[in-house]
Amino acid sequence: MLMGESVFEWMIITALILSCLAPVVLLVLWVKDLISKTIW
Amino acid sequence: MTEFALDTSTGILIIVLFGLFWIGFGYWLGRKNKSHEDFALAGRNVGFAFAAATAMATWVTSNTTLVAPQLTFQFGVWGMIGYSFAALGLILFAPMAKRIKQLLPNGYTSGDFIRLRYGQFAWVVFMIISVVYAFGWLISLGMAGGILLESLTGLDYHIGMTTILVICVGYTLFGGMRAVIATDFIQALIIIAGVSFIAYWLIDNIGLSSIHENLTAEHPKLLDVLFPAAVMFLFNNIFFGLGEIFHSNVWWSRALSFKKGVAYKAYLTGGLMWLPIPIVTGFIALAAPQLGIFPPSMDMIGPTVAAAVLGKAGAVIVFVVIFSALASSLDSLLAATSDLVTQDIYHKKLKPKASDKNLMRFNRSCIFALGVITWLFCLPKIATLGALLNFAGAFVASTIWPILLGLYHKKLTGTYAAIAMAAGTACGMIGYFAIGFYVAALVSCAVSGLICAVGIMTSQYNFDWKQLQEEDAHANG
Amino acid sequence: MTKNKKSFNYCYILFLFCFIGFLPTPTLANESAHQLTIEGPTSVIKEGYFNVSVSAKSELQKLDKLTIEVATDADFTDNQKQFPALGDFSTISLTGFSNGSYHLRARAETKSGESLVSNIIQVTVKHYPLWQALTLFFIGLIVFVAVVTTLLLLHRKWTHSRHHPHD
Repeated sequence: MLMGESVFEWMIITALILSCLAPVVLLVLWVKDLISKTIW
Repeated sequence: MTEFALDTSTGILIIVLFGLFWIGFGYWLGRKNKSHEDFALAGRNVGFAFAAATAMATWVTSNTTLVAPQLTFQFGVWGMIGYSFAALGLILFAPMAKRIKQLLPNGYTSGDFIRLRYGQFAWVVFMIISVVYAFGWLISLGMAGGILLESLTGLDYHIGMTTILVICVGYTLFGGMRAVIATDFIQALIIIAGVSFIAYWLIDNIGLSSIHENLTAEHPKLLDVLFPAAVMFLFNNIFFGLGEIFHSNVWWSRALSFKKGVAYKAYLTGGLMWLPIPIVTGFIALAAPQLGIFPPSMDMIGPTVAAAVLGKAGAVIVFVVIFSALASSLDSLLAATSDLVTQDIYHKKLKPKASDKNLMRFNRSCIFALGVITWLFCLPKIATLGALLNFAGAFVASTIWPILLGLYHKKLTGTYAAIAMAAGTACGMIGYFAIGFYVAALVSCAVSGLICAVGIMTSQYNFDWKQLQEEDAHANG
Repeated sequence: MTKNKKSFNYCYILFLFCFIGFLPTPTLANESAHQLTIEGPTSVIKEGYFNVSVSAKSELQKLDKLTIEVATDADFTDNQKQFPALGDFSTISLTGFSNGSYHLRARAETKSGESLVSNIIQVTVKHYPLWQALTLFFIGLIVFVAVVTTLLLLHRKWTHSRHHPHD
């Protein structure tokens, strides 16, 4: 049973979008910590 | 001579610049360290952003950047999906981290917990497992560093391996946990940005449908959702991941160093951020057949494809990404293992009255010694990366049940926990040699789970949770 | 037309000679005829991937355009595929093979443009039976569900029993 093209494309693109979001989330959290002085 | 993606001199230049930056950064962060608690646990006050980033970055290791593409190249789509399930380790550890923080507000290590909860016998078994695992991981990271430098720049394996170890030992030595966590944050950003860029480039220039078409025509097995070897390896890999995270002091010391109320959401966020990474890195390998790239060894498929399609720029990105991935794990492992030795062996067994300064000095010498021992083990290139790590699967998976039940259940006794860990490891090893690598962790976890179940059902024992805290208060004055 | 036919016959005879040459019987003579040697796995492959390595007869000889040819028959006419080696490496990792028996040979050129062909090796791929894989899968699934349920139940019990406010 082979993985269909649409499932394959959907999986890779979702993974790519999620992985691109990660740095954004991290930076936002960092700025939030910086403002509230809770980095350390 | 073989052509290399990067000149040896460019490779050395990047390594030296990065090395100086990390060591300088580590030194700068280390100035804040006033006590051993500062050095080992970053003052137990790490905020959410750093906490989530360090959970994610430490779990992105040579595994994710080298072995995930390798497994995808070998097992196809199941290779990468199966690999991304290792995120479950971080996600399931999230509730446990909260519990750990509550049970051991002043604790230092996972060894601490095992000794107080289960006693001497279980502690010895646990320490053997921890040390075997930590060295297995340290050595595989050191070797991966050497192999990476050699295959991308032609730099001699021994020089590359030595350089990476010197840099990581260097900044961990200066900055302690603070340096480890802060560098992890930057390394996490570099890793994600790098792999996403390469995957995006491949999609943009080759096209997903064209890759799918080629695989269907030439290598249909790689798209097979019922690929037997891959289906077999799936849960084994999950148990391996759970075992690694549940037992290892790398994750415990992180949980303990986080600010109150941060541990749970940090591990959850870290796990969710980690989840797509193996799919993105694994996908890079699926483009290889389409590009006509068949590398000399399977574990270099990811870097080879990136360097081949992106030329020199790709090689630089791969180099920096994998170097960051290696460093972010190597530093954590160095710090956590030396904490384990300092706290559990030196402080608790050899010198109970050691002063804070003494502990800090011992911890530093320990990091240095670990670096030297790892270096000695890395000198001969013993096994391929995957083989070495799978071997450790039998060890760590046996700790899943004893740790989980030890944290929440009063009834499991130390004797049963110790037998569960020892017998699980032994049966896992037998499975590894008699059947194959894909059953080692599974057998180990199942056997240790059965023994724990028997232990709980026959037990009259009721552990008093206060025993964990009383000693803490006592030890810390 | 007749001319064509004649040449075809001639080719046929040549082909027959070649075929005899490729038969694995005359080991000594055969080995000396090959400037390249290909080596692959000797046991049955259960995962569908393997490495092959190619070596030239004289070690000093540098090879160009090294390619591995794979086919399901010894004449290399059936399902023939070609896999180029990367750079100057003489080891190649091949992957994604379905069940079956494969014939492999290497082709390369020397620096002076001379074309070389290696001996032929046979590799058998036989994946694990699906029932075996699925059995392990379900055992794993059961243990995994047990771990997750235990963790979630115990954690819930703990959070519910706590009288302290959320930390």
